[in-house]
Amino acid sequence: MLRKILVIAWNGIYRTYTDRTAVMLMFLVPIALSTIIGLAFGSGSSDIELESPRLLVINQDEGAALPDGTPVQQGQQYVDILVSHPPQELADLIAAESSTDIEAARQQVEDGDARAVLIIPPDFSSKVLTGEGQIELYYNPAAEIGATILISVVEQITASLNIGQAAQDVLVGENGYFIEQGLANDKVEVIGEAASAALTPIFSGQQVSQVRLNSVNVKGDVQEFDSLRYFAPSMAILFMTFAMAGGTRSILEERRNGTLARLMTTPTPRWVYMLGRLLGTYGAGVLQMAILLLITPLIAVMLGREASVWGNNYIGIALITLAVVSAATGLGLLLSAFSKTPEQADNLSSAVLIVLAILGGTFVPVDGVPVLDMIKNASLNYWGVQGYNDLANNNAPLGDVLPNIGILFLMAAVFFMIALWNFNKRLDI
Amino acid sequence: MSTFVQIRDLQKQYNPPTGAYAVGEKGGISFEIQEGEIFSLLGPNGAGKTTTISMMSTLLTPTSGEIIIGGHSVTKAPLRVKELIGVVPQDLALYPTLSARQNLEFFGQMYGLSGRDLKKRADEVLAFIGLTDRASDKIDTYSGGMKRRVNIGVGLMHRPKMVFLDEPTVAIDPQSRRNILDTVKQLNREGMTVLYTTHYMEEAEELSHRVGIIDHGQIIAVGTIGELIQKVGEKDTLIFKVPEIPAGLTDKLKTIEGVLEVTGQDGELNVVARRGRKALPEAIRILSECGVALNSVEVREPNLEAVFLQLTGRALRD
Repeated sequence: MLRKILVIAWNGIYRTYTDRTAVMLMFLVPIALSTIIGLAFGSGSSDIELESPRLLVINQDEGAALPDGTPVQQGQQYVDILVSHPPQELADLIAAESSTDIEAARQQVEDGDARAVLIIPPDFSSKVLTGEGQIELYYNPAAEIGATILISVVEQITASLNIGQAAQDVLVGENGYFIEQGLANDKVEVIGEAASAALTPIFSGQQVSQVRLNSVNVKGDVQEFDSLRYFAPSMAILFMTFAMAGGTRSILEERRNGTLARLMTTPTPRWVYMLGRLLGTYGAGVLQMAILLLITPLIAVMLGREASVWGNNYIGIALITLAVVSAATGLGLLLSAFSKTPEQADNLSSAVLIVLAILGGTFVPVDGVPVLDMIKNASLNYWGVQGYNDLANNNAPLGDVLPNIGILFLMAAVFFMIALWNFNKRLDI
Repeated sequence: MSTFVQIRDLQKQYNPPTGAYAVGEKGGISFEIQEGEIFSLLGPNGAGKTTTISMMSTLLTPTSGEIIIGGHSVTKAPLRVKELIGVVPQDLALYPTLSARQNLEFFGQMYGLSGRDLKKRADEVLAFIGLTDRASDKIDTYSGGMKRRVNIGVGLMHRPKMVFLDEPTVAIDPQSRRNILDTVKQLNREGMTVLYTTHYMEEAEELSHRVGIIDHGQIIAVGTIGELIQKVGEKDTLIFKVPEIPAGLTDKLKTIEGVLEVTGQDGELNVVARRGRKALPEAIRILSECGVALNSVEVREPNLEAVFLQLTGRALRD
């Protein structure tokens, strides 16, 4: 029976990959779309309303004295601007508050209760005087937009402190991408001006050395952001879900064109057929994702981006891929199981898969977006994209994406059980 | 010949217990098929032919009754039965984007063939259906007749002992039909038992060793063509087309030995006789004596159409 299962699976894969239209939808369209969206964000022009990201400020600065004995409290300047007396524009954009417990604050970031923690160390003022000042911004990269706003704000304030210094030492680098390139550029400018205006009188006439901002994400790594890292997996998953729906829909087509009935007249049990078809669909999906995993780094290089679009945790990437294709295959089967004809399955799939893609942040990240932030968890796209992003952006260890993998496999199991139960009831010849 | 198929009291009711019967509403159907014969199920569309063949090929579960094929019960040992039979469905059941060879090999593998045996058998079947030259072309590019031949070929891949052909000549050109009928005869000559369903009387007459006439889900007669005709009486009809029918002519014709009935109207004389060909010379002599010019003459011998008409009260194609 195993041989028959493999033969049926190969029959499905072969027919899928010799269908030019299907191949175009599986590969060319997601590659083209992720490339175009990546380029569009590069020249950016969109605007999204966001809820204010929450920033915790921990000022441990013990202060220092200038050579003439004048005391300085460099860290307090951040507290004043961010928490005590923020300019109105800044107050509208972020919700900053003081905190004292570093571990508790970091936990809040990891739990998603806060977007970032700004940690000003005890020797900050004295280090600033010797040109070695460092502060740390600890944030959750999964919350892309909220964290990016905070990074940009702190970057602007830090730049204001660094009189005469360029911001190239600020390590947030491309993390400011969304802000600078399109989402809230005008707001950032206002904040920068407000921060500079607020700080200028304080530091006027003083020689202040450079302050260095370390941007640290929850995994402890310095993050580098590339839009392709977001849109390549999101587009790949979107079109893979459509391919999986098409693959499982072929069961309905086979029932209509008589090949299913013919197969049932051979010494082939129905479960062998179902398993073979599902394995074929699943194999086609894994192959599709594998090819996209290989091609998108080449596209990234062509666009002048980093090649490691998917990161270097190959086991993690493989497991996320297997999990997300499983969930998509299960969902496809579920949609076919509740359709009477291939056309009905097409219509149902289009509607459901697009909605899930939107909820899952396929087209626009949904972290911090009211309502969507809650219901995104129902979307396999979300868990897949988030898993790939964690691996790509943070070089996250496997353990960090295990929840994503687990949830995706759980979704797959639930989808399969419901679908097979329903198919078995109504897969009459 | 030994009995290869036994069908006893077979009934199929959709959505029992209240649903309509597709087969056996007035009592389960029963018939047998002998090993090595061509048995035709003849009946109009909707008579229950496909339902019967679907139950025999394990696609539908009978509501009651029993089907034994090659000594195995269809309901109790379906896998054993499936190994013995090849099914050629009424509608094309092929993968249109695969080639003829790929279709044959795929279904061959579903019958358990593999390796060299699979390739060799695919070559044999392609040669048998006359498509060796087009073996690598996609089914999409084939004519209707060629597709029908591949459809038959798939059912032969595993060298079945019996093949079910469900109206294989529907909607194809005369040349392809002839090709398929010759194929069926060839299969039978090679020892294969054939169950052939059709609503074309001529096909049943040409192919069958025995015929089962089915109507409204009931088998109304089973036998050789001769036996069926005998059931309704062996009467021939001589049909003369003449310019006019003089008075007294019909009485003279009735005097011919074996003539049972003579009717004449509108330039057509119908002479019913036990043996039409024997009565024909005498009838022509009488016509000549009476000075009647003869435009045409036809000897209409009893056929399955007449049998069906007599048994059901309507024509086969009604």
